[in-house]
Amino acid sequence: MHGIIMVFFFLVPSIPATLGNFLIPLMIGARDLAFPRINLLSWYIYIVGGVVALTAVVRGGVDTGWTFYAPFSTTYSNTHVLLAATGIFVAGFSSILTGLNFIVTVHKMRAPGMTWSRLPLFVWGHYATSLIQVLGTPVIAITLVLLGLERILHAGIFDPNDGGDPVLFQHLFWFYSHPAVYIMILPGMAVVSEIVACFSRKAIFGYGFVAFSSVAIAVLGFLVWGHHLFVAGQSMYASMVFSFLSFVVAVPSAIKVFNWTATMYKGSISYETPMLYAFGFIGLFTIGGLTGLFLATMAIDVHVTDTYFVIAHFHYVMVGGMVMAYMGGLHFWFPKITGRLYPENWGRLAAMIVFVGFNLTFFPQFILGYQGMPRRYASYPPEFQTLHVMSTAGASVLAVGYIIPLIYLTWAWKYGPVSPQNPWNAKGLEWEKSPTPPPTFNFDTQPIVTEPAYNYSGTGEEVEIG
Amino acid sequence: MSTTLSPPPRIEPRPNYLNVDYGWRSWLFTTDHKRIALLYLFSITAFFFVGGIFAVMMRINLLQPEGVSVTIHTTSCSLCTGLSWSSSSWSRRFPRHWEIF
Repeated sequence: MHGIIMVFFFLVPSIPATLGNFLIPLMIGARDLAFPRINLLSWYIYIVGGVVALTAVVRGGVDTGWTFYAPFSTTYSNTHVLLAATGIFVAGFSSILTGLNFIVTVHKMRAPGMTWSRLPLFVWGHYATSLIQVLGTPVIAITLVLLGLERILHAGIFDPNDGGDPVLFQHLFWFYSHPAVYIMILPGMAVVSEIVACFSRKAIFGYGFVAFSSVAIAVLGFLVWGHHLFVAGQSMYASMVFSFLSFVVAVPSAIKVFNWTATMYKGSISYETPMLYAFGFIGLFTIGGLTGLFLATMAIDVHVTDTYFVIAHFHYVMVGGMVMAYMGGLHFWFPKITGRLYPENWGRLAAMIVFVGFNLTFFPQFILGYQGMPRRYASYPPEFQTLHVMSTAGASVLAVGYIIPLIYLTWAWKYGPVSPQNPWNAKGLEWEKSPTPPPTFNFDTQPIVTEPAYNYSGTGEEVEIG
Repeated sequence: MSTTLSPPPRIEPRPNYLNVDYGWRSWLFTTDHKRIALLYLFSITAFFFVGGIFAVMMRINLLQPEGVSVTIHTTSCSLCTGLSWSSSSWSRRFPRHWEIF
């Protein structure tokens, strides 16, 4: 249940539906999204899906994990598989509608002068994310419908006795769920691009490369699902191709990491809370990404597949990457959202607690996995205990690190000092042209864009892309 | 010699998306992307902490090699639904397990 809730009800909607929803119209100089009512509808759909999934939780949970692998989910499990699958099915539509809304908005509602090559990278990242959401999410919906048909009517799609194939489920599932991890991480990268440029007081290095690497990740992300099936009895040649393509995805991801680093080089860096989270993102995402290459290597994957190594890997990407970026983004745009400033020193303290707690939680899991501790087991040989206790200790620290911001952000919303319009002296329409907090239709007058994004030096060099 | 200071003029906050309207209807039937973003923010934060509780339960479970059983049990008082973790005898007395993984 941890996986289902975190993946489908936190990670997938988190940055796009909150920060993306709030900021995309502000960043491109629009009054609202293209379809405001559909936007509200998508929230209601999300809530309905969430309530259905929570019903499954309250009634005893699901024992299939978030992946619902057949035949366990279709034939053997006695838990509330259908209820959980329905919740995810419903919430998927929320994701599709949000993505659709963003795509139309970015195409049709940019302010005069806001060309594609002047779009903030936040918008580029969300544009790429929305493409995956619109193209990928229907596949998980179909997969879950097939799962239901199989479970209720024994349709035989995943059952060899009726001519089906259980591995087909894994193909269908990962055809969505691998791109879905890019739905989760691309908005995180989008947030970090904004933060790094602002707190280095420099234009982002290689704007065009960063923008197109988002799209490249979105496209390539659809071609690598087979690396989840190396040990599932997939053909050796297919595995080799998937292994190669998985290495290829590392290229645009590395472009981003190198370009953020190059942006910081000789920048005038200041260490406010959002920047600390951005540092955390870059470091931890790099570890998560590089261990992803270990796992894309077939020989290593056969050794560590379904161990804690995999768990540590994707938590470095998801928690160390995505949640760090989310926290950084929340702090960065907190003045914009609430019109108030948060206590900076508490923010820095919490960011450091999160970083330490995170590493203490998940680094031991790399070692555990390498030594052979399998996933999804509730008991283990005694020699693993030390590392498990370290990990639990880290999780406690991490929990404290998340509760502190919850408290001071709530406090600052009500009692924080009133924020000026642009507390960070950041570039971008949302800070420069829109009052803080913004009025209902965002801008007092229609903004007109006359300079490229991140023009911190004021020279206005134009980048040409596309 | 005294200067009388008149109280500073009260500055009305300019209308923004937060103070333009109040009441639950203005939130649940809004079409403002900023207000919808906040609806999402609160619901997503709630789900994050629900998922976080499951993570904590798993980490407690993994403290000991044989597994610390994390059980949700309902006592005779229907309001006192509580969370307890302890060794195996407890899980036999309160067999209603939650699937936490």
